[in-house]
Amino acid sequence: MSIVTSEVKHPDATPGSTDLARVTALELVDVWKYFGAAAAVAGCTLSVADAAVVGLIGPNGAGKSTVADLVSGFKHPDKGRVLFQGRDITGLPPYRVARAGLVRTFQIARVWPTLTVMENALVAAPDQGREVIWKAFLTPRKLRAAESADRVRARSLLEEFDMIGLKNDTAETLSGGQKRLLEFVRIMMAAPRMVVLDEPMAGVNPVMAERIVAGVRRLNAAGITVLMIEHNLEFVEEVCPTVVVMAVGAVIATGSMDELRRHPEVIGAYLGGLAGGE
Amino acid sequence: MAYIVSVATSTAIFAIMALGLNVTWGFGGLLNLGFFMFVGVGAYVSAVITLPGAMPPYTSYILGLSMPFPVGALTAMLVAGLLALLIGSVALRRLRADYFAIVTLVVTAILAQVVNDQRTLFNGSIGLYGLPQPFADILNTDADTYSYFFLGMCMVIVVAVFWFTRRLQWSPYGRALRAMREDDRAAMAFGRNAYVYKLKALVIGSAIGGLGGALAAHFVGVWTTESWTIGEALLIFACIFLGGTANNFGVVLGTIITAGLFQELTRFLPQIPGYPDAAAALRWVIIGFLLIIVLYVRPRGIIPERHDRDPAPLPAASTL
Repeated sequence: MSIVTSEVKHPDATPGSTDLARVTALELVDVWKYFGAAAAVAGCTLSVADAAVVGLIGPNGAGKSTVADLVSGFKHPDKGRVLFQGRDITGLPPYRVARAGLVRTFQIARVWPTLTVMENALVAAPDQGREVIWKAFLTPRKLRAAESADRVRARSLLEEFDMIGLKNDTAETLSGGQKRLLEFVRIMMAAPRMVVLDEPMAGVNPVMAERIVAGVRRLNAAGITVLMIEHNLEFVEEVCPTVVVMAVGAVIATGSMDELRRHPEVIGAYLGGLAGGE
Repeated sequence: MAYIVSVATSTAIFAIMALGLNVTWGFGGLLNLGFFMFVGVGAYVSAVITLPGAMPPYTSYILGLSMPFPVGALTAMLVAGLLALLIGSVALRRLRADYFAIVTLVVTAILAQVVNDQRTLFNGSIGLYGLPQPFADILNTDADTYSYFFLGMCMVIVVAVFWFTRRLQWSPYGRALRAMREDDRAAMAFGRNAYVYKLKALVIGSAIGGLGGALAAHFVGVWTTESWTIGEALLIFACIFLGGTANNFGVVLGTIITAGLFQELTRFLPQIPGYPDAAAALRWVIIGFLLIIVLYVRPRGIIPERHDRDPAPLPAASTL
């Protein structure tokens, strides 16, 4: 496992954390989240190795999306801890979690509709003190020079994802699949250490599926750890060597899809849907 | 001619206010129903800074410093901005559009009531009269020439505010703000504290509103609680919707149409015997109809928001 994380500067990241940080990107320790009296997440414990691609599956209501919210700071656990790169991020607001290097996507592709594809990419890049109002008036040239590096990077990423021809189109004109690709471009622009993808295949035309698969692989090739919530099990099997299964708010099994197919508890949770094949 | 100059001046002042509201609503997507509160506060503050001391029991208001107009206008912007900071820091906490709209509306109503009832503040319901004309003591000209000067001054401020807000819109800050207008959760997922960005937009827009208020008060020479009703607030929203939300050119055009032409042209409608208020009421009806028609035909206004164009040419072998 390569230790190159120090190359990317994250304002909120604390250097010199424990050795554990180098092997474990994300760790949930006995995390609970209640909605009223019902526990959506009930004692969830899981860990994601650095630079891994991990799938998170489970029947509806298993608490997968709540886990994504808890990890990214959009919801806060009632009990338990969330560790990112060995650092306790429990209770941090979402923008602080993101600045620490953990970015997420949502079930619905959340692009900024009236911004152009290019602007979408640029807003996703780390701020680096550019979004300070007075700089636009007092040092506009310096600001433009600093921006141009981001623009160059955005163009090459858009080219790589076959979207350069759309760069000046507003994001609202894109198809569902293109919006997902734009999300990958935005993640690449943000250059996080880890990303949580919440159902990246949702709303994507099957024709685009291959490009989504390539997108996930591309993120991982850039050294980004991936935790992917997904319903499409074929897709999960294709890209995730390790898969975590959740049911009723807790992890019931971890392993490769092959192993999980033979796992009695997993079969039970899915009522045979997994073993029966698609 | 004097009439046209007067209409042009009030339109220019409305344009300044509309450009300010466009920062909060157009760029930031904040439905600031209390925008006219900041205009009103700016007007009152500039008035009490420039007026001589109160003469009880005839008049009663705070300060009364006899300072020149620029001091009054700058203080107006400052106080309006600070008030926005105070209200926004509470109303924006939850980042919920409905919550923010209701809070601003309620605070406006409360503040209007307080100003109306507390005579010691701004002379209560009687209001402030005899506001000094900006720079009149230095210029020392006749009323006609002065009205041209005042119009010119307002035009210069329109251009300055136009330039400032335009640059703001296309700056990296403005880009992030426009992203948050669309989806602040996604912006937070990319490390932006949407609360702070929106609060800044509210403060800037309100300060510009305060400047507009100061100009309006000194233009008319009078400012009372009657001067800031929900009607004026909605009129400025109408200017923006009509011309094009988040487009400065559109906002100015919308102001010329709504505040300029329609507010004033309807004055020339024939009087309906027995209904002296008909023309004034009709004005609102016409503005309402115009708004509905434009929103139906061009939902984003006459001149919709423009989009940033990346200047670099496309690579030759672009696949899409």
